[in-house]
Amino acid sequence: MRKNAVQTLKESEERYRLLVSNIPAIVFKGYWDWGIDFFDNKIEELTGYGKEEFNSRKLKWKDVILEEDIPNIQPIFREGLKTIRSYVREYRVKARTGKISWIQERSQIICRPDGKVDYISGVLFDITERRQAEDDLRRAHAEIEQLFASITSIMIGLTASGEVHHWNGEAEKVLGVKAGEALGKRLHKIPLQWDWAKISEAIGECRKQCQSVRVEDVRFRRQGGKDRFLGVSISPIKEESGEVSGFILLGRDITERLILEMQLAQAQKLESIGQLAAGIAHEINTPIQYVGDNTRFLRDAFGDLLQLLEKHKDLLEACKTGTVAPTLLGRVETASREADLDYLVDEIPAAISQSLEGVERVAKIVRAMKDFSHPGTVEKQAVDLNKAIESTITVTRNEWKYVAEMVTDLDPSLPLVPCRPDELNQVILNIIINAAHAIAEAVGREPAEKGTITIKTRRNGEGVEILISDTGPGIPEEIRSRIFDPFFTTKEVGKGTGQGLAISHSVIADKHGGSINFETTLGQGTTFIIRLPVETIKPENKVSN
Amino acid sequence: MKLRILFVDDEPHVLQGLQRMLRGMRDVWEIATAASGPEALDLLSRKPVDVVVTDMRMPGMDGNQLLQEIKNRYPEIVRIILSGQSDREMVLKSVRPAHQYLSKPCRDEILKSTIERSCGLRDLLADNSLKRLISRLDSLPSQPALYLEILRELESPYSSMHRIGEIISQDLGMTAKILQLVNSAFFGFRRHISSPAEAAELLGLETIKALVLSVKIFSQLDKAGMKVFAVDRIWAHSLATGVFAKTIATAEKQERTVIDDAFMAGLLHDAGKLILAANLPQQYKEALVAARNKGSSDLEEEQRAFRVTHAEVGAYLLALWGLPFPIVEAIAFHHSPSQCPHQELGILTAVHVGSALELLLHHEKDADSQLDRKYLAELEILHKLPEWQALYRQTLEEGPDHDA
Ligand SMILES: [Fe+2]
Ligand SMILES: [Fe+2]
Repeated sequence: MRKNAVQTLKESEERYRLLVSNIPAIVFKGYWDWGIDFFDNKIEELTGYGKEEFNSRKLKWKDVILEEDIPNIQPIFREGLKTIRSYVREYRVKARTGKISWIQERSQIICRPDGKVDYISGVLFDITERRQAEDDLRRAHAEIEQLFASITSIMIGLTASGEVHHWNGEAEKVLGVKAGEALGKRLHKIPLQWDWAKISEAIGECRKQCQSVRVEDVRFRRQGGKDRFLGVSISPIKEESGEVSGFILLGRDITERLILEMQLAQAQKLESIGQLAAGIAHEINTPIQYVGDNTRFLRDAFGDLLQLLEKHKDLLEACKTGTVAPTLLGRVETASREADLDYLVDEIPAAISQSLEGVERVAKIVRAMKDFSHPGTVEKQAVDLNKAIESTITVTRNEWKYVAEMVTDLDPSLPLVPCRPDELNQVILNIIINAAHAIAEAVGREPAEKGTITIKTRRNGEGVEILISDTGPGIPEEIRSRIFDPFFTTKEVGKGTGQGLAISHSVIADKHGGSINFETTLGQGTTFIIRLPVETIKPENKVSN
Repeated sequence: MKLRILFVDDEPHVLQGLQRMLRGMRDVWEIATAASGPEALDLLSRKPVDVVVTDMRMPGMDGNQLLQEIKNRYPEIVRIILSGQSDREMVLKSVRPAHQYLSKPCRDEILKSTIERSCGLRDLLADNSLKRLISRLDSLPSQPALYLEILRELESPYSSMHRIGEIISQDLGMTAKILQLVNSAFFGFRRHISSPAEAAELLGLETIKALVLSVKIFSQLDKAGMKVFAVDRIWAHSLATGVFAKTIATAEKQERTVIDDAFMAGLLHDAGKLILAANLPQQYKEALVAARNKGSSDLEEEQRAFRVTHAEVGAYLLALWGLPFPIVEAIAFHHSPSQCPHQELGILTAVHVGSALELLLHHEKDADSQLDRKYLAELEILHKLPEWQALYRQTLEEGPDHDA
């Protein structure tokens, strides 16, 4: 029986030991004086010291704890003792090798009946990896915080339903709206005058496409300020499921940039207008010359006719009195001859019709100039491309008429295209002038045989196309890839800034969401193809979400 | 004989308009038209013409090319551009082939007076070969020292407009050319020009640079073999006459424009001598030698050799170049003012007296030293000569002030 009891105890202890060694923690029994007993050798894996070294009290537990952590953990023990007689604390231990590990200690304080601490029973977990992960996370958070703080852009976070959950300092500064006035509100309820429809439309687009959408030129006005412009990128925040759980709006006040761009475009426009001025002057001076000449002729002719009329009056008087002297008849005939009546009868109507034609020509040029130099606006307008092309052809006439015939094939059913008319005119002008120069290169400056510039417009799926072809020499292989580059020019120094095609490209691609390409065949000519989207112009203030 | 004028323009309405507008001139002008350069040349090969007025930009052959061709083939024809073009490069190119430049739109009086005046002296020159020679000239030789100086000034990065004006107004050749450019509408002015310096200023530094350095509107005289003409003396006498004429006009309380023109006419009055010396050196030398040997006057011998004198030669060129009529008239009659239709105290008086007295001051006897006493007596100014002489001496002592 006794042997049986001993046997039983032994078996129980064996089972207990097995259990202890199987749990992924280090079980210990500790004492008031930091003495500690371990029951298996997992402590050696952790600290490099065997359990005997502790159990024999050669080492106390305090000896491996990082000294600086001790003041932090002692109060936890005392607090546990005072209250529930258990505690959890985390601290670092230093192994024999010097390696530091994070430990979580979960202990119960076992007290004697007199209330004094008998021993402490607990387990130690190695939480180094978890602590590491936590540290990384904390660091990452700090970095993100810092990143956010250093963003000089407006950053607005929206929930999927469109409520503001983030409104950074820059947003406060630029938009003049405090975070407090914005947080929790839907964007359009925020007390701010801005082109809300554009943003709303873009958010809808972003939700649909599930990718970033960029909107330029969002007009806004701060309290008591002038109109300014934001450029905003809207990015979706995607769940793993692929669902959009919110949006980030990154924006910037691009008013200054727009002004600079406008100035650059203005400079190029002035350059080409300067270039055109001489030609336009010629176009106008020529009809004015013959309108003036014809009018002077009419003045003189009227004088001659008046004299003849006097003679006829005399004749009439004579007829009335019934005595027409033959000398009078002779005088009338001589006067008719002197006045060159036949000539006047032929020339006066021609002089009048040519004068009217000349006046119409001048009027047409003046109208075209007015259309062409349409003052720049930031916002797009619905433009009749055919009319814009015709105006541009008229103002550039002097640039091409000596080298080329102009053929147009303009689709009368072309829809209105939303664009900035002045910039578009500029692009057409640049390409027409290039075409004229290309043809001049092929046929000479004052050729007997002219080339041809052909301008076509047509619908193409969702958009429209403008095709401008010349019969020039074509673009050589080696420069094809560079012709839209800024400052790339084949013209002699001093002939323009070489920015024409680069600016054209930027206008069409960046500002109008279209494309500009060319097809060229050496010895036959080049066709520039401009494609522009015809987005329907949406009503203002439409809220998409 | 009617003046035969050919208008060339690629715009038929312009040609018809001009024809109608000039109908009032049908008794004195005979007008032909051509729609292109080649058509004009074809017409010229069949029919003599006195004046060609052409558009600048025309397909196939531009106005400059046409005028250059006419200058080569028919140099005696007066060459005028009538253009609406203001492209500076093309205008610069037209400076040599064209005598004058009119811009569209052009008023009828200006067109008429330009054509009339440029041909006004054509009957003065009976000799057709001389007419051809003068019409072909596109510059008058400059004094080598001044020519080098203006090149240096223009090439310097610190060119001074004031200095350039100063150089030009000392030189007969440069002054003549600059006045041609500003009196015609080459660069778009049409106003009274008060001095060569002002003319230079109107053109502006950049244009003058382009004109002198690339178009080469000035030329320098090759002095070798020119000793017999004492060209340095011609230049010096010209400048001195300008100053003298201005002194006289000032003393006579003439209007500002008359005083200005008196200086310029004085500076230019002997342009004919320079033309003859530079272009017909052999004939001119023989005439001068003959005068010395025979004791006859230079003018008589010039008349014998060329059927005109240097006065008409100079006046003819400057009329072609469109210089103001009073200046041209003063040059044409500077030896024989009593033959001038306008008998009044003015530019001609100042130039005639200035030139003669300047020579007498140097005790030189030549064609110009003969005073037209009949003319001076009629104007009742004979007695003023000593007074003017004194004033001139005083001016010289005070230092040159000819460009003020
Ligand atoms: Fe003389
Ligand atoms: Fe003289």
